This record gives sequence, C-alpha cells and structure tokens, in this order.
Amino acid sequence: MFQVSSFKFHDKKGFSIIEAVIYSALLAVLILVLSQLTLSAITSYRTARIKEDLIISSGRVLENFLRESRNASKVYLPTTVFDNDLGELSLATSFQPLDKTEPETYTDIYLAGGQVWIKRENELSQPLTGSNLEVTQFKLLRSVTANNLEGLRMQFSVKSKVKPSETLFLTAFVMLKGGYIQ
Amino acid sequence: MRLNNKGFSVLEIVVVLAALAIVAVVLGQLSVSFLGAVASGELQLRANAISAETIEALKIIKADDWNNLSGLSVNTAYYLTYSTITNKWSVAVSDPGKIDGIFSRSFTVKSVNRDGVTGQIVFSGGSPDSKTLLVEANVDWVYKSANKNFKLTTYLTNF
Repeated sequence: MFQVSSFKFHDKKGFSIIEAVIYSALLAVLILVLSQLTLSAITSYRTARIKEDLIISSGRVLENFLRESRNASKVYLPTTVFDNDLGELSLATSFQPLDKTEPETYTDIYLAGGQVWIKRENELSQPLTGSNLEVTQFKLLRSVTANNLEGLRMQFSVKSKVKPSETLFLTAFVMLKGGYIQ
Repeated sequence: MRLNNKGFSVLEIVVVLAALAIVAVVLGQLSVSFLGAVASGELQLRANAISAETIEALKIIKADDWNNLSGLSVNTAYYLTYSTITNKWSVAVSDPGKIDGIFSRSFTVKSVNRDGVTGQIVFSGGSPDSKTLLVEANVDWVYKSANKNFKLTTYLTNF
C-alpha cells in the first residue's frame, strides 16, 4: 500500500469533524459563561463601592449640615447663597448661648469644585465629600417664620465621576435652635 | 512513548458545565443580594433624612403657631408640603404624592396624658395635656416588592 509518511498513527483515530464542532461549541459556551461571570462580578463590586462612597459622603454632608445649622444662632446673610445649585451657607454660632457679649463664630458649608466643604473659623476647609464624586447640587432655601425663627432646607445631589454612573439625591430641613435666644 | 490521552468525553464536559452553571448562579445570587443590601442602605439613608426633615418641619410649623398642630385631629394621617414661593412648610390633608417617586411621607399627632401629681407623661391614666403632643413621622417605601417603613417620634410642647 502507498504510504505518504513513515509515521504510524498506532491506534489513534483523532477527532471526527462533528466531535470537533461540539467541543468548540462547548468551549465557547464555557468561555462566555466564565467571562460574563467575571465581568458581572467586577461591575457589581464597582457599583457597590460607588454606592457606599455616595452613602458615606451624603451622610457626612447631612450630618454636618444638620448639626452646624441646629446649633447656629442665625444665618449670616452677606456670604450666603440661596436658591442656587452652587450653594453657600454661612452660619453664625454663639459661643455662649446666654451671653450676648461673647462674639460669634462662623462656619461655612459650600460647594466648590464638585465637592462640599466645611470651613470653621480659623481652620482650613475640609472636604465632606470624596474627590471621586461630583456634587451637582447643594441648594439652600431659607424659611423664616412670623416670629423670626429661621429654618434651612437643603437639596443635595451627588454622582460618581467614574462608571458605572450612580447618583444619590437627598433633601433635609432643619430649624436653627440658637435662634431661640436671639 | 505511547500516548493515552483520549480527551474529554461529551458527558464529562456536560457535567463540568452543569457544575459551572451552579457556581455561576450561586455567585450571581450573591452579588445580587450584596448589591441589594447596598441599594437598600441608600434608601434607608434617604428615608432617614426625610423623617428628620418631617420632625424639623413640624417644629417650625409649631414655632410659627401652636394651633397649627393642636388643631389637627389625633391619630389621623396628615401630610406636609413645602412652598418654594413662600419658603414655608404647611400641613396638608391630602397626600401630595411620593417624594422622588419613591417615598410616601405622612405624620400623625397623638394626645399626651400627664399624671396629675408628678406631671410626668403617662401611658395610662392621668389627664390630657393640651400643651404637649406626640408626633410620629412616617416614611413608607417599597423595595423589591417589600414594604419598608421608617418612623421617628418626638414630643412637641407649647412652652
């Protein structure tokens, strides 16, 4: 018999074309499932991290806004920006609530460069939100009652700078308690 | 050297794929529940802020005029609206709709009884104190077809 090569195949029959097709199809399914799994795991991890960041930053803004405003005796109007997404809040707080001779201290909470900052008198500004997030709204509204009590409403909106894009929106209202003794 | 690798049989591959599918489903469920926990944490924070806002709004409504609250029927759901024109909160009888399309806000006022001798707030007996009200701020929302609720209560007084 005619032989092309001296190499002998022993007992190996190799793949049939059908087998090869089935194997590659299964392999394709395998690779697809595995890559989808890895991708979705990465995406959900990133989403979760971003959401956590949003929650922490928003919580800090909320907490500081409520605490500083509640303790304040009045809103210092000349440096306060109301009804603007790029809001700025200046609060005057008495050191000793009942002593009117004591000077007041000033605290600013404002939005700049996509971050909300807090600046207490004689201190440097501290960011309340992460640099990986962009605050798109820090809007303040002032409510004054007939007997001159002040309330502040804050609308706060923050989004992640990186993908997957997530946003968080909050509103808060607080009454200035220091205002009682004015 | 004699080679003896026959490769995988189709059956083996099917078994491996099935096992992989189970692992994939379990991992998928895990990440879904993880994400769900984070998302529900976000809603919780927002509900928390809305409840705190309700209490503060009621305080300023009270500070404006005690009759704004004392005139309300007890144990009845009321709602709040904020006018951006006058920048004032007011009590509404009908539901103004969901906040951000998610949260329903309501509040109720309850009467408070005080002991005639000690003046302490009591839950049974005593006589009604017209200068004290218990307010309950409610926030309801639905997450993954489950009803969620956040409640804050506080006493408001006219002194």
